Amino acid sequence: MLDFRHFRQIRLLAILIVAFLGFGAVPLAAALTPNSAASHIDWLGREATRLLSTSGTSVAAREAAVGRLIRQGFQIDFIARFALGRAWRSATPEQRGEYQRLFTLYVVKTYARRLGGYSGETLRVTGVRKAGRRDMLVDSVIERPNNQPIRIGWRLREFAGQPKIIDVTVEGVSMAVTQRQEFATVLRNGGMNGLLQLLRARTQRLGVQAR
Amino acid sequence: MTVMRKVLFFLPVLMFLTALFANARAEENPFAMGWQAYQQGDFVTARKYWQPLAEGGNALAQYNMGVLYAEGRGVPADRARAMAWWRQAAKGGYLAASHNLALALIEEASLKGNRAAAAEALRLLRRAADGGLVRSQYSLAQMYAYGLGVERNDAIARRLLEKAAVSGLAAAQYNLAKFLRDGRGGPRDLAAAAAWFEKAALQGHVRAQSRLAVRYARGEGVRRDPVTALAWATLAAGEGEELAAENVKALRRSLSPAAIAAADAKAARLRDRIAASRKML
Repeated sequence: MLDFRHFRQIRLLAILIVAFLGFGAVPLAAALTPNSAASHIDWLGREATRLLSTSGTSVAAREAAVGRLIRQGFQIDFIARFALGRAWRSATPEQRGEYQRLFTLYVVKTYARRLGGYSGETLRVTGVRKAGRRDMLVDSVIERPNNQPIRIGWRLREFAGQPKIIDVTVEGVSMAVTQRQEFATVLRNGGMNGLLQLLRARTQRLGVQAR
Repeated sequence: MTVMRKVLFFLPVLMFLTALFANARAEENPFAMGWQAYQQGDFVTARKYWQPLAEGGNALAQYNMGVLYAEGRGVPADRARAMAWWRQAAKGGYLAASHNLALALIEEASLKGNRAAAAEALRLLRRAADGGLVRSQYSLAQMYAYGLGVERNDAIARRLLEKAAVSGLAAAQYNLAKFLRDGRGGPRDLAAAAAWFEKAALQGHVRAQSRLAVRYARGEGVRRDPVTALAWATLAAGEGEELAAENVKALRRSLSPAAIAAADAKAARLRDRIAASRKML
């Protein structure tokens, strides 16, 4: 489950996700090639370092800004459908719409709120390879002061001429597959309504309070 | 020395003294120090300030400790510890803790099929909602609206949405507008529906912007106004709302270049207004 069991991976993922801040600011390659995929991930690593070291704004403001960019950098509707598996077919149109909305909120909130506390970590692309007919897998490591490096893999696919992330692996563990497994458990227990309730619970939680 | 010169002379001195006293007050206030560290992204230091307060029985610090554990900030994420802190804070009467504890129990119920957890969650949410916590009113309304853990009851859902909407929660305003539009849980009222869609839209609620565009395009609950419809649809489409994007295309095909220009200008003004209201929050 994303929220608790994989918190360390998610925090690191968020650091990388933040790098998508820059995707809108650089010209995107017309087609997804090994070079364009690698250079985007390499560039986002550097941009992440720059953005995360920026101070002077509140945590909530930074996370809100990052949230908007996560929506741009990830193909969230694709990830959402994958996470739901076969249940997508039997869901009503209303349930599908609500699920897409809640899943997006959940993913954006989960990743965005993990950016704080980042310091001195840098991303280095170590390789890139084709995966199937449509995807590129970019291998990278996060190098951390006084800690072991962590291997992060990025699966990219082209949507409407833009590279989008459709999965992230941390030390070989796919976040999309992990999510799908957790959702399968919830669907067995409570069906589609149970899953929607879980996502509502995760997205309606309140943050720290000053008084 | 003129008055202005006196002011200019003493202003830096006054600012220095204010900063000095503010700093001294923060030194005396570990909660504030923790807050400051948190906002700088230094969650480890925030925890160092808040934990002793929490252990000493401060409900607000207990609540914030729960959030740190729930979100894995400055500590490894740990739902059980988060819930333990929220449980203590809830006993101390801190409503946000009841709210978060209830949601964590709903997670437990969803993941483990734990019915007792669901029942406790409902009690906690009711307590927080009755105590005036807007978020709990909204969460509870959703449970009644979808029949989750309770028997579906649109009338109760609508009453709770009204409370939360009046308090300014955009999501509640949007959902209340849908109830009013569809006549759920009470009589249909298209004018009130449009008004609530507009309140939520002006807070930047994207789906409310999209639905408001439809109201203006059809003249339902408002005077028909395709220019305003296109302005709102443009804003929502810009945030990735698919229905709005389709409506933008259709409206642009049907409107004159002058009307489209007017809509674009209106969209820009609305965007500025929404951004300004967000800055004030």
